Amino acid sequence: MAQPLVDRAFLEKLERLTIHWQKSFHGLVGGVNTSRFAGGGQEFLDHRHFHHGDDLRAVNWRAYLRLEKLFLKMFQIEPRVPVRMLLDCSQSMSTGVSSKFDYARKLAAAMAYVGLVRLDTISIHPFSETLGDRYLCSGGRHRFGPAADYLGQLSLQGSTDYFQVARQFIGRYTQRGLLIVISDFLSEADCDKPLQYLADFGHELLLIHLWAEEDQSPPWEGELELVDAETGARLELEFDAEARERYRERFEAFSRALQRTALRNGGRYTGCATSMPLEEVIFGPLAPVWGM
Amino acid sequence: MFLVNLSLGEFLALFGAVSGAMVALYLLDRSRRRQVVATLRFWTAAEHPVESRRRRRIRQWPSLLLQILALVCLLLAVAQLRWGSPDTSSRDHVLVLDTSSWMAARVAQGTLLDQARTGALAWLRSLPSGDRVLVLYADALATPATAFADDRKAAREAVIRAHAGPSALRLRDAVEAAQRILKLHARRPGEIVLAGASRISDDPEGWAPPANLRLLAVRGDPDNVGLRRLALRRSPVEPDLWQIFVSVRNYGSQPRTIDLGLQFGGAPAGARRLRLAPGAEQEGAFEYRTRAAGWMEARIRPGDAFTADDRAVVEVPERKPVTVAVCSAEPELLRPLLAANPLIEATFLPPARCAEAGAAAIVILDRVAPQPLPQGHLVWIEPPSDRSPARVRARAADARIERWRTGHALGAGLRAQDLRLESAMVFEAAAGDVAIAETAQGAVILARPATSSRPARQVIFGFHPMRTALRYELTTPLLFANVMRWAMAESFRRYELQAAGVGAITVPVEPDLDTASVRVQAEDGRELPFTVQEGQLRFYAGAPGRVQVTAGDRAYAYSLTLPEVAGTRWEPPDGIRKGARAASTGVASASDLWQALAVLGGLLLLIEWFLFGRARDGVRRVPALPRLLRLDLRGRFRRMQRPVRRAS
Repeated sequence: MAQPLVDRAFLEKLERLTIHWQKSFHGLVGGVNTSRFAGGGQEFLDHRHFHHGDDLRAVNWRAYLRLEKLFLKMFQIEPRVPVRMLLDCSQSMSTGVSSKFDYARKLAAAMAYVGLVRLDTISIHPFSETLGDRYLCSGGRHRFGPAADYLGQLSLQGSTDYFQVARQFIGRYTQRGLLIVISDFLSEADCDKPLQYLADFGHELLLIHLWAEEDQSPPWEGELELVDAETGARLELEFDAEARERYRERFEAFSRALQRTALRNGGRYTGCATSMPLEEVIFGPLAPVWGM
Repeated sequence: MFLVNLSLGEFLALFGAVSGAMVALYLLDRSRRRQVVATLRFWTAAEHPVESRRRRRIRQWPSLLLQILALVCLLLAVAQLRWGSPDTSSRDHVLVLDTSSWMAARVAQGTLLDQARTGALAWLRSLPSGDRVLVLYADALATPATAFADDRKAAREAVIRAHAGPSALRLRDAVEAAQRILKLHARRPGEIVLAGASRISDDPEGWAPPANLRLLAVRGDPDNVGLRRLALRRSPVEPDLWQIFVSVRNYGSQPRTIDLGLQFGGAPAGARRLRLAPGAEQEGAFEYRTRAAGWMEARIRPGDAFTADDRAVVEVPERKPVTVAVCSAEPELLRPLLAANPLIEATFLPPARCAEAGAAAIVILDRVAPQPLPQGHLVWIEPPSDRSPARVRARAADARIERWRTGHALGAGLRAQDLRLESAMVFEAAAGDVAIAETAQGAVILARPATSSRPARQVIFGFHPMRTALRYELTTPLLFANVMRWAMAESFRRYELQAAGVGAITVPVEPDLDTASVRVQAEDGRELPFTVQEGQLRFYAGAPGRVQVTAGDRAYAYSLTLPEVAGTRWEPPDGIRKGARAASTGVASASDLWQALAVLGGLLLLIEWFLFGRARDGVRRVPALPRLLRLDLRGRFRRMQRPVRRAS
């Protein structure tokens, strides 16, 4: 029997969490996230004067009997904001002593469970060179099993092409929403511009940057023959402490650039190493995601 | 300087192989390695061009040098490098382990044998590995437990396996046996190591121990009071009365008062309080009346450190009387003769009721010849001429007994001369018949041994002893006693029962004892060898048990339940070596360096790790094991220090 992605005890800890977003989106009624827009919701928001064409069912007839003026009751709309999750399935996610891909799948499963518990709908989009078919998670916590099975069956393939992925995503999904990207953001081309496009189209970006220990600070020393996991390109070099320092500086600069992109567009950025326990990440760096 | 465990060639071969493998691994480790990474974009900043022409060069050569030096130190430690002159050859030692009965005595920590074992094992550990050891168990006999071998495990097992025996230590015999073993079987004689209590049964006076004797003495010499002997014999005048003799000895150096108690079949049979001076031995005499069989037990209280001699047990046999039926018309003639012997239960029957004598062991037919004849041994007195078992040659009047067959059991002790018989039947001896008494005309008393056709013995009197002049002679009761003893030898045998210790046992016997009649049998029916010399029968019993000695009309039952306790303490001379220390002088002159070499090797490895190893992370070709061995301290530290970036 295959090991479950996340165990029951951990899922129980996730029960009290809710996925929060910062922006307000036009959407359908549903879910538990409140909106600033008035509309046909269940919760009373305010009164306003009646205008022609308004729905007579919303008139406050008690106020009319007392004041002989028509007032209309306004209700708070409860929009169903689309929460989409992009999961990196490229070969670069396979490197590291503890696989980044496994870690990403566990993280995605945890977030999907949080959404299911709150009756939110979360669509999972695997991607590498292109955007894969989505998997829709909705209908409550009892639907978590199929979602976990789906995540468990994903496999790594190809390299990452963020331009292509962003283009396909914008083309397929016009409705704005929260876009969670779980990836190492390592590709041959820069991922800054594609992320900017996604933000420009109104999506709220939540970038979860995963890295392995070796990605951040390679432990090797001496003569190395490096092979790119995605492209197969080779590089021979001599690596020492000084070179390691330069490597780390580049990596830090890359992380900072990702963070800037997210913040610039009103999004959020969280970076974490795969050596950190998942629970520690959920209730630590990812705390703002749950509004904690 | 020399190596103990390896020869120089072996060491060099091992060093060459291991150092070659180390250099190869070093080159492999330091060579260019292929690594799959997530991206190459950050590596370009760290890039240095590789000098391909020196790809296999040794970089960090001090690291390699330190590792090789550490390897040399560790290999020398394994080879047990010693400073000094080497011993040219191994030595052979004999470990004499005292397994005498005294070694079972308890002291503060275990028994004396436990202490001897501890000392012997410590001595074995101190021996150079090349020396060979033979373990010799020593009590009254010296028995090799192992052959000469450098297999320490076998020697250790032999030492652990040893247990205290029933006999005392004969030190001189044991040491002489060890010397003989060294002389005959040792390649290069070493030491004779005696591990024991030095309590011996032989006399150490005038004995000079060999120069190569080492003593591993045990501590403690507990006081002991023990039973030396428990002897029982039937009273000669009252067969149901047992005369009991108990001998107790104080082996200690303090006077002791003990309670000596006897029990027969669990019931008290006697008690006495004895005060024993140091080294003194006292005897207690008791009497106990019984005809039943059972166990007679002697016990002394209070107990002491050596409990094996605090109790002795003897099996007492049942007394079975000899039944004699007398078919006679004049029973009063023979009644005094039979009443004199307490072992006989006589029944007197008139001639008409002779058939009722069938169950008797011996039937005396006084001038009668019943039909059918009884099954028991028969004593005919003047049988009817026509039905006599022996042919009557003649009837003699006023005949004189001229000769007694004193060599026969029936004629033993009969020397009466000039006995005149008023009337006597003279028999003609058949084949197998023995004439016991003869007149000038012929035999007047015949003995007919048992045959296959008739298993009963017969004695035929040609005259009536109580109707002739013989009735006034001492010969008559002697003759009848001989008749009874010859017919029922087992019943008339004189028994002596003794509880004694195992070992050599001496039994006083009659000087003219026929050695053909002597039998010494162990409990399982096995015949034990013996010697008879100068009125003393000697045999040796090495194990506890019961030994039956039959010598003539006497029988001795030895219950060998008491241990043989040595009464002499051997004081070793001053010059003798003591304690568990390595014996080989050649090796002793060299000092061990392996401890220092092992520490140095470890230090060199530590220095190498501090200088070079820390720079290398454990994650290499085999990631799991090296990381585990090095505890991945660097990675743990880095994770602890790393801040987590996040956007809020």
